[in-house]
Parts: sequence; C-alpha cells; structure tokens
Amino acid sequence: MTMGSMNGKYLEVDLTDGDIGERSLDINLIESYLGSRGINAKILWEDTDEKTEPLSPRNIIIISAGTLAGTGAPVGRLTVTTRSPATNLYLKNSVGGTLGGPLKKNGYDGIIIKGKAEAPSYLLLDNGKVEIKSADHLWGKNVRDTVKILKEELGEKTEVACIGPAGENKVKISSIMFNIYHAAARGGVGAVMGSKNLKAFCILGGNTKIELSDPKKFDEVRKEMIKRILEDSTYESLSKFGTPGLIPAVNEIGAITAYNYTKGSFEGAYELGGQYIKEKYSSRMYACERCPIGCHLFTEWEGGVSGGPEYETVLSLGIGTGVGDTEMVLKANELCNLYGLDVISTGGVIQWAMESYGKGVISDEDTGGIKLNFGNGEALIELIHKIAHREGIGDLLAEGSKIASGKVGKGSEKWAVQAKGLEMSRVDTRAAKSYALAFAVNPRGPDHLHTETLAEFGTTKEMVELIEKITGDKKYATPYTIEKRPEIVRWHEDCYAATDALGFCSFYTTFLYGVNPDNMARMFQHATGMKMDEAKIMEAGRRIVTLENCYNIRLGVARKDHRLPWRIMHDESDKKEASVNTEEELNTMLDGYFKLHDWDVKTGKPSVRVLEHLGMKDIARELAEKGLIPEK
Amino acid sequence: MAIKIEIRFYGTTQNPSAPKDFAINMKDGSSIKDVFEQVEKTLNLKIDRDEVNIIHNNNLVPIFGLDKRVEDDDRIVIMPLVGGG
Repeated sequence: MTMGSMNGKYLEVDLTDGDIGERSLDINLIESYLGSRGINAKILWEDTDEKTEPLSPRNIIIISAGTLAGTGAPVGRLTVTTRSPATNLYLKNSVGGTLGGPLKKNGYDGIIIKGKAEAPSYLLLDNGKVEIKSADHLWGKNVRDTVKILKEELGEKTEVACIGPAGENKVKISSIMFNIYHAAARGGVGAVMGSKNLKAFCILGGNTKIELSDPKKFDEVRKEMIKRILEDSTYESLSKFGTPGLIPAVNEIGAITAYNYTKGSFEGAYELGGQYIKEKYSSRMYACERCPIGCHLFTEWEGGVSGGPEYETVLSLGIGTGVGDTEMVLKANELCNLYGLDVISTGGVIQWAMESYGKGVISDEDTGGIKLNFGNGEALIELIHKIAHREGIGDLLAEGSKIASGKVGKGSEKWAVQAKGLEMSRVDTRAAKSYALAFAVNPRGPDHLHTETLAEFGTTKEMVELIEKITGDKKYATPYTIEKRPEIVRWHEDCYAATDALGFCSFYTTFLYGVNPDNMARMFQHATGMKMDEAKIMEAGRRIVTLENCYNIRLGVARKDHRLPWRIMHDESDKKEASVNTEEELNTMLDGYFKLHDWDVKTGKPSVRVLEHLGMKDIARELAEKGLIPEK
Repeated sequence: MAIKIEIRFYGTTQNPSAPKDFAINMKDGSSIKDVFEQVEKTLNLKIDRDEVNIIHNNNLVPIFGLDKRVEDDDRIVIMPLVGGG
C-alpha cells in the first residue's frame, strides 16, 4: 500500500558519531497518529525515557512537516518535539513558515536529531543528500546574520532554521527561529539545539513528487476549505491587522494582563494594537506556505525592521511590563527574534523581575544598577541583551520564572506567573473558564497553542455554531461559566492535535472556522489513501493528546500538577465578573474533564483499559509495569 | 425616562479608527440592539452587526445577546471584529 502524500520515513542523524540513516514509518502508525505531531510524540516516547536529561546528548529533537505539506494545500506548520529543559516534561512546538514543503520534497516527513556534535555544526539537506557541516563561522551570530550567511553560501532559496546566541548559551527560554521570523518558541527548545552544538538546519531543493491518492477529490475539499476560510467572519480583520488586532478589544473587556497580570486594562493599549501598528509601522503582511490569510505584520521603524509583533509579543514585552512606547516594543520584539528568545517567557520573566524589584526582593546590586521599574523600556531592552548572553542578572532570568523565583524566594514564587515551569500565555483565564481548564491540563504548561477555546466567547456566528455543536446549546457560548467546559476543552484538544498532525494552522480550525474535522478527514483520506472520517480523526487527535499525557505520567506527573499559576488562583483581577480561578472551580472542571475521558478522577491518569481501547497497548503495558497507571 | 449610555466607537473592520467617545440618551428599557441602532443614526453610518464586536460594560456581547437591557450609565463599545493571538 502506498502512503500518498507521506514519504513514510524520517531522516535520522546522530551528531555524536556522524551517523546518518532513515527510520521507516509503519502504515498503522500513520493511521493511528496521523502525522507530524502524533508521530513525533510516539518517537519521543520510544527514544527517550525518565533518565533523559533535556540538555544531554541523550535527548532528541524531532522536526516534521504535516501530512499534507507540499500537496498544494495551505499547510505551512511543522512540529518540533523534544523534552523541555524549562519544564523537564514533554514539549512540542508548532511553527509556521515555509520549510514543510521542501522537507517533504527532499523525501522525508521529518528529521530526528540525536547526540551532540563535537564542534559547532549545521545540518544540510540538499536534494536528498545529507551533510553535517562546520558552523564555526556561524557560532555567536544572531539569527538574521546566520540566515544571511547561509543563504549567501548555499543559495537564496535555502530554507534555514537556526538558533541565536540564546540557544547557544542554553537559555531555558530560547527558541529555534525558522527563516528569521517564525519561532518554535516555547519550553527552551533552542537550548536543546544549542546543547547539541547544532546551530542550524538548512533545506534546499528536492525532487520527490508528493503523490495524492485522489487528486481530484483532494482539490475539491481544498477549494471548499479555502472558500470557508475566506468567508469566515474574522478573516478580514486577521488578514488586515494580524493578531495584535485583538488588543483594543481585550483591553476593553478588562483582560489585558497589564503589569504582570495585576491590571485588566492599560492606558495606551490602542497604540500597541494591530490597527495602529498597521497604520503607522506596517506596509505589508506576510504569510506561511500557501496561507490565504497572511496574518503576520511586517514592521519598519526608524532604526529597525522586524516580523511581527504578534498579540502575545505585545502583551508580554509591552503591556505586561508596563512599557507603552510602541517603537520600544517593536525593538524588543526584534531583539528576541535575533537572539532566538521566546517572547512570552522573556516578557514573563522580566515582569517577575520588575515586580520583585518594586517589592524590594531584587536590589540595585542584583540588577547591576538597572532600575527595573515597570514601564522602563530601556531596562526591558537591557535585560533582553543580558538574558541572551547570560550576563549578570540575565544568568538568573535565563533559567525562566520558576527556577529564578525558586532561587530568589521571599514569596516571589507567587508572582512568577508560570505553571509546570512554563510562563503563561497572555490569556487572562480568570475571565475565560475554558482557557483555564485547557491551560491547566496542557502537557507543556499553561499555553494557548495546544487548545485554543476562543469559541466560548461566542462573538461570531461560527463560534456560536461550534459551541452549540459541542454542548447542544448556544447558551454555553460564554466565558464566565464552568458548565460544559470539559466538553469544550476536549473537542478543541482533539481537533487541535489533528490540525497539527496534518500541518494546518490552528487559525483555520479553532480561530477562524474554515476547516473542520470533516474537511480534515476527507483531505487526509484523499491525500494518503487511508480511510478516515470525522469520528476517526477526532479519536486520533485524542490518541495524540493521551500519548503526550502518558509521556508526562511516565515522568511522575499526576492530577496535582495540573495547576494554574498561583497569582491566577489567588490574586483578584480587577474585572468583577471573573475575579480568580478558585481551587474549587478548577477542581470541579478537572473532575468533569477526567470523568469525560474515563480517566481516574483522583490521580488524573488513564487506565490500562482506556489506553487499550485507544489502541495504545504498548504504552499501557509499560506504564502498568512501572505501577504508574491503574488496570481498570 | 431617559437614560444615558456612554459610547466608544473604534470604527469598523473596513474603516478602523482611533477611539471616539460620546454619550447618547435612550429610553428606559432600551436594549443593546436599540443602542446599536441609535449609534448608527448618530454617526450616520450603516454598520453590519456581524462585522463588529460589541462590548457591554466590559463584557463581549455574544451575537445572540443583543436583547439584553441597558441601564443608566452603561458603557457600549463598538469595534472591528477581531481574531486573536
């Protein structure tokens, strides 16, 4: 049986001894785990274990293209999977850009990187030929310079993913940057690459023809899907203003997470919003591979240019730090891109430092004389430099909020807005209950790129239709109730996992609603030739999410770890409808979530029976033998 | 009896603008829908409800929530319909 759009193999590179090989993918594996995110999770499960230190040569990085990449469909997402040095847990990043198609056309669905190179190196995949090359001349260079040099050496059409100085210095909030402005951002994945002495991987050319099982039917679904995307209520605003277009609205509802999540609104939010930035600083938008939306603002200001900022960037580096100077925020965004830093975590840990400084927990001596007050844009910039190079206080902040606050103590853990070791995304879950549950149970930490439950706001007809489909009643399209939140989260988790596996952007499925599970199932079937329907693809999504949880369970994670940051559960927001996510509220939602999945409510773990029902016998057996899950 | 409603208007998706603040008087018992229509008249502008966000006293109004009654000194924000982050 052919695999249609799948090549059926991952490239496998061991940097320690230079071995280069291939790993074949079984058809059953693809049917069960769909592709990319799902297959990566299975490989991570098999190739690492409890003893795998995240920054040791035993850890692996897996980069893969979606099942539909290179087919002509708007599929630009890749998944990067590893064990995180920030959380010590499972980590996947979904990243946009243009590398997916070229990777597939080089004959591979993904790359598994193992070991550690003796000296700085980069990996070149050129028309199916693989080489490990010296990166001595690139080490220490920022992302833009690295990309520029590699393109000069290899050709303008080279696709480059690389780390900046932050990854080289094993900063635990560092990213891998894809063609400068697309980030596999979270959980310190850049540090894992740095720990392997791997500066970049480059992809050129590729002659492999991506086959489709039924090109005519595939194209019909593709056209139908694009039409639905273009007709979605929020298509126009997203394509015009990018993600920062949301900022004025979030400010008006009092959920803007200003000053380290202590204020719901921010004076000057409009000047940091997409409408204003578009008018003053952006003459063009850019898109990922074949995307009809093109949601990324490209910004130019006196003294700089950059991709972005995104909504999360502005809230993390600007509003959260109290910095309202638009150009300062654009500059901070650009620095994070060039150093290869996660903007959410960088902003988060700086906000923790600013609050600590304001409360006298961090002194002028600690900061090297930097006045770390909220609103000090110069201090923001200075700290970004220091974090990337681990200089002075930057060495502490480079560890992330959990470790930094643990070292400093004095109660500062309470305003380190993190859980599981990951700084929280800029959604005020106190005012959005589905997000609260989704963030608490997310295997990588409290973050929106695992389960985006925007539909609970019910502000477009598509959102209301979806909530009605999931819960049976449109009245649940409100973010202020905890009723039916487990059902809403579960649907979004399963859909999101399938979205990532196929390589779609989540904006198509859980932001705009142009692509639904039925579309995805039909596209998968017409691309691969493997039978698929809506129920089956959602079950595969469930299998992926379950496996990701099993990875963490093997590391000792249980219900007690599914938490939200202390501040979010104890410090009141100034928004009266949603003051805090209380212990009782979270517990009620967790009870409902585990019951819905038929998992053990007390421990938050699936049983052998549940795993076997999902066809995960091997995983069930290992966890049961280790005494980590119940039999029934 | 008349009630006063504070309005903030950010324009529409097609024509976004910096926020403009003004107040309108409405009859007691008016709904969000009534306010919306009054704003259209005041601004002499036809606004497609499906293409804007409406915020009532810091809460996003679901598309089916226009019948909700407004009270004196309530605040209504109308702005371009937005996606997210």
